[in-house]
Amino acid sequence: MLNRALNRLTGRILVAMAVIIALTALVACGATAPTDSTEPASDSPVPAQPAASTSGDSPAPTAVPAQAAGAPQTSDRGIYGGIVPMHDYAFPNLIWHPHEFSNQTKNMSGIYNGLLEYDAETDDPYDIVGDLAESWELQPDGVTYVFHLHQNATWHNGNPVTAEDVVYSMDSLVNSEANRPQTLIIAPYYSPGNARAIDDHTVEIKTNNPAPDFVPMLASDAFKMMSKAWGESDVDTSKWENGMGSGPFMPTTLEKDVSLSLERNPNYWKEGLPYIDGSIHYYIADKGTAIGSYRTGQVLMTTWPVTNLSNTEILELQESEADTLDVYLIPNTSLLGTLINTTIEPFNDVRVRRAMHLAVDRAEFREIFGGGIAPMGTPFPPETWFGRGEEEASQMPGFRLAPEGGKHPGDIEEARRLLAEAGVPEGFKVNIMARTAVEYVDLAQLLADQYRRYLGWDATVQPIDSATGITRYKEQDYQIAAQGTALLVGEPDPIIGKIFMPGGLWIQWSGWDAPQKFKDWFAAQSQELDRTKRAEILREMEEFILTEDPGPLLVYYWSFRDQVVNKKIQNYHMPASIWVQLKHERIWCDPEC
Amino acid sequence: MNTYVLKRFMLFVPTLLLVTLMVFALMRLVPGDPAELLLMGFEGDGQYSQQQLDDLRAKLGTDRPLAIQYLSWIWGMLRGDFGVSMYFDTPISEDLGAKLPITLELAALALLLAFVVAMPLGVLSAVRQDTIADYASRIIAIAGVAMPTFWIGILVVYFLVTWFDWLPPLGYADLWNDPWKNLQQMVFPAIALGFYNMALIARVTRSSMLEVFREDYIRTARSKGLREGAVIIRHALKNAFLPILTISGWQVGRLIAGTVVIETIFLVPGMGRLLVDSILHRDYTMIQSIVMVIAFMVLALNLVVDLLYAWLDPRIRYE
Repeated sequence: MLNRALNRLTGRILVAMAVIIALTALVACGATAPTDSTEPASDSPVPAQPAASTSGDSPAPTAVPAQAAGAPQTSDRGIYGGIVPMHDYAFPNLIWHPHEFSNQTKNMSGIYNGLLEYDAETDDPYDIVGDLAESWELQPDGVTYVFHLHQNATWHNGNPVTAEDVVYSMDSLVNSEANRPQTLIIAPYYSPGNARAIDDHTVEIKTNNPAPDFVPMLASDAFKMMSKAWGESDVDTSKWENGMGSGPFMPTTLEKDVSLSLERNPNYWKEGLPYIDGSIHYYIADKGTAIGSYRTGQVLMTTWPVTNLSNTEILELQESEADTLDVYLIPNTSLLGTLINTTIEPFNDVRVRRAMHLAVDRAEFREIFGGGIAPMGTPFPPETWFGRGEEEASQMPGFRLAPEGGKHPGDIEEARRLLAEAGVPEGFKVNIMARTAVEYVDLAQLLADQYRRYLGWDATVQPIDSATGITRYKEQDYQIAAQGTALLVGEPDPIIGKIFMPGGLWIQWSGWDAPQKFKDWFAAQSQELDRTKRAEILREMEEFILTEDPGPLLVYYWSFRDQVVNKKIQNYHMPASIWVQLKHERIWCDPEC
Repeated sequence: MNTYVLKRFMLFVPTLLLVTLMVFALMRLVPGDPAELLLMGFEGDGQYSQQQLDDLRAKLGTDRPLAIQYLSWIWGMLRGDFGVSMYFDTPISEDLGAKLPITLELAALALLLAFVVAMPLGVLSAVRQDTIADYASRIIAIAGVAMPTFWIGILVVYFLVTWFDWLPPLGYADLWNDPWKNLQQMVFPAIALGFYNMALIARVTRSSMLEVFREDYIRTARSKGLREGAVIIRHALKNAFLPILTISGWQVGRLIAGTVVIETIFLVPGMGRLLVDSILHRDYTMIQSIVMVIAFMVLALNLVVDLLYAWLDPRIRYE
């Protein structure tokens, strides 16, 4: 009897468990793809009726956009419709003034237009075309640009985009009294008051001196134009819901920690654009979940070419999902290396920095973290018009390898000689600070291992949370650190300005003061319109870094930034940097999203 | 009993005060000025003037003496005003109001799933002591206790993607608006979150049941000719329930703390995820408020469990 009772009880337990498991499986199997729909927020700006379009020479396709739901309409170029789910790794802050553009606010790019943009439809990623500007020319004086605006461009509220709006925006972009994390980078070229409206649709902008990098920077997505009337009104333009631009999309909903939704601007002034009805940017911080979301098709692309996945993880994802995913590896706008506090001993001694440069095994870094394909860690990005080729660099001290592989013994010998000369003893204790972001801790571990191996240093790694790390950088309360940086565009001024020149972030953190000749070179190249002559000056600068003083930075490798794109997404082209082609007005889904 | 309840309520105040002091002090001991971080941005790229920094400190209130900051925070909470998020510049009460129910739903579902699985498993293990069923259930329980919650979460995601080519749908669906989608989103994080609890409850249930089985009244019940099912459920399980309840009440605090990791892995927009973001952003006010809410809930649950003791076991009186 006891046994019978036990059997009955056991049976019930098993049945109960089976039901739970079945229910669980039912939930899993019965699931469908995300079905979020974007409900326009009641307080989002309501666009007025569009102004009559008069421009027949828009760069956009001439097809008619699909305005109604239902079966996708096709043009002679692409397919209209669909909401594209995208992956973003971090929830942005809620201060979304277009000129406070930071890496948290790239989601807003589709709401605004720039004066110029990088062409999103060519295979030449450095091709710059007009966005709000229909055309532009540089006057013979080398400092005056005249931009001719599209006559039919309108803001979301239906008002026309005018030259006065551009003048207002230019001054706002370099307003040093406001928070301008990215855009003050053009302050050396442009001073407030140097733009004027010639007529409603023509604007003149004068640079402070000839500035070949001005146009490439202005074409990046950090430099958006905003309505003067909107900016000067009582509306709080830093609120996401008040994002009122002239761009192809409008913000509809923001769910904190969940997603941001954008929907097409039905009255977009570029005829036939955008193709897609909108996008939902999901915030997925966990790596495994992000990879799972790509694999299961829950997200179809990254919002911008930055993810929380390493190059190696991205390459593995591409390999495992080769049938469904494309990965664009964008070179030369991001690097990883050692930041040196040059205000303290012994790092204020150039011999020590040279020794550290010589002892870094860059090949090992590239192999482990760069998937074996990341560009070499020369001071300037290799294989660019202003950087040296990898072939040449690989013969140089600090980069060359022993015939049998591994560090070249001559480099180690020289590094140890320099340290001895500088009075740095064997077993010198060095602490490598590593913020717990990106792969800094892992990079620091490898660096510590290399310095132990090659220099005999007693190297330790100190992981530290990101916010504390930044505070310690600012207070120069560290010895050396594993650190990376992303650059606005892959041109010399943003790179050298940020890392080597006074006012640059890394200089503020490292305390390095470039010698006068280096500063003179920088000023000279920055104003040199002849690219060949400019390249010559830049080569001298790089030579100085390689042979005389590495400065505050030892690059391990130039990291790729990764854009993952599902094969459903059509007409996506490789961008020149992480800060361009973020509007997504020319992509479409095939098959339908 | 009433005196006991009153005493327990009275203990709330000093405990909570201690928590407020600890949270406040710890946040200030960590390097990093929230005003600077806001201006510099996450990557530290932001440029700003001293005037901007001073203005922001004044706006955030971090330029005031620490004692004033502390008292003003306490005074605000007493009036139900948690203040404004330093990072998002939004009222904290609104965020807590939106996020807390999500976290509670997740914790409740996890606890429910843990109980539903753990109780039969523990009973089976005890009733079938030293059989294959017992060994199997003990292996499951030991594995559950041994594996950290975040690891289970990662495994669940891995297996869902690898075996089913599926993940819970993105974008949070409210329980009342879209219960089916909500269930899809919540059930797997709840499994991951509750796995440890399930294992622990199963182990406690087993040992507690084994102890009760040796009691005289169980022998008496069986001698009276009661069906074994009735003996187990009505006599043994009810009396074995006390330690289970104790451990469960204590575990709720751990469960809520566990949501911090699980919500991040499964994209559940609850209080745990908000806490992680707030720590990254040095959002003092938000962190303080979330920790206070969690502390309050843990204390309250402990009190409830203590009171339930008396209800479950009439022998227990606190006078």
